[in-house]
Amino acid sequence: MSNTLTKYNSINLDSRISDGFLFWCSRTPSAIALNVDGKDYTYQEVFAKSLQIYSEIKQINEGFIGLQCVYEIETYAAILAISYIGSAYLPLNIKLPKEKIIGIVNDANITTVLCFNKDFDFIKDSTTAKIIYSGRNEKAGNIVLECKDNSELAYILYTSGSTGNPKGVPVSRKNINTFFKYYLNEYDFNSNDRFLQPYEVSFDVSVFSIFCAWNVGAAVYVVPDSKSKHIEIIKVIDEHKITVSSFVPGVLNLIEKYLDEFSFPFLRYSFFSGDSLNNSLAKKWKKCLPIGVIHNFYGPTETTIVCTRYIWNEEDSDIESRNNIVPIGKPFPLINFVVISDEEKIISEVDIEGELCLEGLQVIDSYLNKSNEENFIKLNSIRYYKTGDRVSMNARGNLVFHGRLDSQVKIHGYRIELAEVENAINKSCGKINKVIVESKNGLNYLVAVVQSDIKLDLQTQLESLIPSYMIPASFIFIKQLPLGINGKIDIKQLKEIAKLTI
Amino acid sequence: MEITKRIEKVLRSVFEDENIVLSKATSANDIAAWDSLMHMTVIDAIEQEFAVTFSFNEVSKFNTIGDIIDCIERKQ
Repeated sequence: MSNTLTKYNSINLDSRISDGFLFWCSRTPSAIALNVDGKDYTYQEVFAKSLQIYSEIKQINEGFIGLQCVYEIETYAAILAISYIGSAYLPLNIKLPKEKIIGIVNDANITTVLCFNKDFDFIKDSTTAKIIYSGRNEKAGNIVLECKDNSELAYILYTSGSTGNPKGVPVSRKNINTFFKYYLNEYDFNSNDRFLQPYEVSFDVSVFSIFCAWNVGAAVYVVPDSKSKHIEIIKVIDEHKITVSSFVPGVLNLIEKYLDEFSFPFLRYSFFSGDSLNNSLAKKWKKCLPIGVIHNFYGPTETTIVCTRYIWNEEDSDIESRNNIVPIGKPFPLINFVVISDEEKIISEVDIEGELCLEGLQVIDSYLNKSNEENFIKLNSIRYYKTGDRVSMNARGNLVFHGRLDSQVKIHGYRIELAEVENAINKSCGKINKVIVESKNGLNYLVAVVQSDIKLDLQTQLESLIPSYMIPASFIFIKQLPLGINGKIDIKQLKEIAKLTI
Repeated sequence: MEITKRIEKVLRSVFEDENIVLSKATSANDIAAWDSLMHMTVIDAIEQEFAVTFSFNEVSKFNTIGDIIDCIERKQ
């Protein structure tokens, strides 16, 4: 198209994440950069807002700043402003319990939190952090932007940590710019694209949605916060003719019954990450995308958003999916990986499961405060991040995800894969479910938590699908599986429910 | 029983909360336990109660209980 401009190609490993935005702001100031809270903002308007916030924080010399997440332009402009002064942002989500937020502020030793309202005032009572209230409605006047470099970090995120203790993950400019370079080389994103932004800013995939768009002069459409976010996601894709979407696979479960009503002729790329992609649902979703392709990504926060990719197509995925779960594919070119056994020996054969370990420019050097060093391992004198995820490599060289390391268990001497049991339950009744392990008197047993209004007798059907030792000892039927704020099933809450019920 | 009362009964059962009182203006924001997954359960339960099926286009316009009532009335 005639108004398509060439992409921004000047990303260096030490670029600030705002550099692409500033480039496009000077080239196409009146193009739409952001749609949030029902309103369009041009690059110039977002810049003006960011400049105002910059004027309020430019004296700060801290390596990172806590940032209150709100569903308004302020949070987005503040990420830019924090980047102008060369600091990292550490998003704080009001949806977390207060104690958790206080825990993060104390653990990271945050000295300044940038806020837009009084919701975070409780931080002042329990921590030494100072709050800066960004003034709304003030004009920036004649402020001159002088970018500086307080830190080599881009952002710090706290992962919920399936074991319970949140860990600070500091992602450097080197990490994130390696990630951006991959996308700008691999994809033909351009200034006509419209990116979907369905994530909380405290979830790292938001960095993809926001900054891949702003690195090519495209527009970001923020999905409104809602009690039916899956519906809002579809509405935004449809109403704003989204061309690049990324959302967690769980959304497909929630909209499954409507999938044959949809067609999204503008959607070019449909990306998934954050959880396992169900192959049957991917097939139904593909029918809604006349020109769109489905790419399935995988990556822990520690390896910067995502770092492996599988290009989905029906024929290959039918063969390669295991337990109806689409493979996670091959690592990005600058990521090195090994799969290791329980004895920490490198596995080179195909189809043998082990723990995935990753290394490369996208992998963080260490956690904040050098905590959790046990999550790193030196193999052949190279330092790898141990993902805690169990994978195998198939004959086509694609990685296949089998679950978390702790999702494979031994029951009465048999090795059982929880995903296989979950898949069998799903086949027998069509219900979403999660299988967890409980133990009593030193013996492990399986508990299936099934989302269903009524009690179901699944025993007979399961006997025809899986060996008897794989059939859960106990079934719990609940109206809804608990979800964490990122839309993933909350295992911790699930275990508590199981404890109360059994 | 009027439609509002029947929906109220459905929601009391889904959320296991006998204190839920609905008016046409009630929205998901008024019920703390209402989230994405609950939304699906609520819609399924209302469809069962009234023996109707809602399209996505209809569901996407449900902002209040009043919107749901209007839609059911149109279908009956």
